Amino acid sequence: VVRLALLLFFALTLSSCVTVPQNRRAKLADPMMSVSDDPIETYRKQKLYNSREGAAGGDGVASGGGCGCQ
Amino acid sequence: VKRLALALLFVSSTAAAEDGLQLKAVETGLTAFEQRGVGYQSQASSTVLGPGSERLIVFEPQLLVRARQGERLEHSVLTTLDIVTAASPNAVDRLRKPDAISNASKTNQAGAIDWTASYAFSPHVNGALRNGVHLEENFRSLWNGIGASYSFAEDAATASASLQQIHDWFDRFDVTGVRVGRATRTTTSGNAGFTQILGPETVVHASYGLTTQTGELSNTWNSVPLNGYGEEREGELLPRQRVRHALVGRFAQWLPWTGALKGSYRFYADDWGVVAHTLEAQLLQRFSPLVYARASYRFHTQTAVDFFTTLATPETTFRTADSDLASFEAHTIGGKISVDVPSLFEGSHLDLGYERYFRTDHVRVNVVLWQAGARF
Repeated sequence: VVRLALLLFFALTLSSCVTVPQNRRAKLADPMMSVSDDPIETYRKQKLYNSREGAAGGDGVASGGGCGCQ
Repeated sequence: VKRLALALLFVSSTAAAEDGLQLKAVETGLTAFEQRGVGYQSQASSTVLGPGSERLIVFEPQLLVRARQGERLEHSVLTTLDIVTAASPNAVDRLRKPDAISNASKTNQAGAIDWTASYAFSPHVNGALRNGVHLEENFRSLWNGIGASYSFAEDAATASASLQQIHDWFDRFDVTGVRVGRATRTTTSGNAGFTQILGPETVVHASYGLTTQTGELSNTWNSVPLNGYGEEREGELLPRQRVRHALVGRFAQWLPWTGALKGSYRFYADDWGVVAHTLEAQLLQRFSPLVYARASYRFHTQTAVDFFTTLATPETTFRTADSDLASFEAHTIGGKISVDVPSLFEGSHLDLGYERYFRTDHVRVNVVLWQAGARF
């Protein structure tokens, strides 16, 4: 896990000096390339996983609370 | 945080007075969950100490409306209804006339409204306020959150942070279904994330989340088989605090054949003893400018909480038989197809999908999802 975190950290920081011109970001604008789900899909995933797995939370969402199923 | 909240409230109210709303998107969704399996926390069993049914059916219609108010302010309102039928709580008081908790569980209609207002302070700085309410027959919940994001390096990198507070109030029941007062819990969650465009075809994201919970962390009617003076069940006993950590990494990579590969890894650990790893991969393929499909697979493995048991002794300080807090591995396979329908009206689309979630403890869920809407 530590190695993975370090790899991720260096991958992000070493590449941060590279900028991609706006006119070369067409593929990134495709809905298929979104790294986050839309709100409806996010809520559905929370419903499926947060109330069935004791390891919910993080990733921008709170774990537990907000639902009687907890 | 208070200053940012006050600034957002001020600018939103000012903007509301000066600008009308411009509709940006309307989305509707309908998801059906059908769950089967057994767990020792459930009393829906033919034997006192055996695992009971976790049969559950949920229909969940949703409505998402996004609207822009002026040049800088955008609102997003997600309304969700849940219509739930559950075998486990229904069995709590099977020996007598159903009371509130059984009625709630036979056909429990729950609703939630989640409103996020985001404000662009500059082309690179955004702030957001989030508020919501969740209502069930025996359960109330309110949440408030605040967040901000900053993009730099010609918008190739974005740093974000958010803080969220959830307050729950609910009726407390014993394992025979008798109401014994009220219970509360508070959840505070902080998250920090970083998104980086690595190239014209690659984007990565990493985030860390810390969540602390205080109060009654059980639903209060989950039961535990007891090895006492006879065959009996008592309520689960959980600590009143929990601290949870989650670290997430994601990537999205464009593929030469007009497709995309997305993946994520999530590490989770908490002070109840749960350590979990979750891997997810999605393969997306565009068949035409209007149609793309997605195939997905998710693997999750977790250890049990330190005090999980399927047969406790009466002296134990903490105990739970909840199968969700046990050690298991879970797999989810799914597919979705998304079709743009400009002939209907510009920006309209239709999504249809199916997922199957299955665990090594034989809990399994079928999920059918439908989503339609328009982005203006």
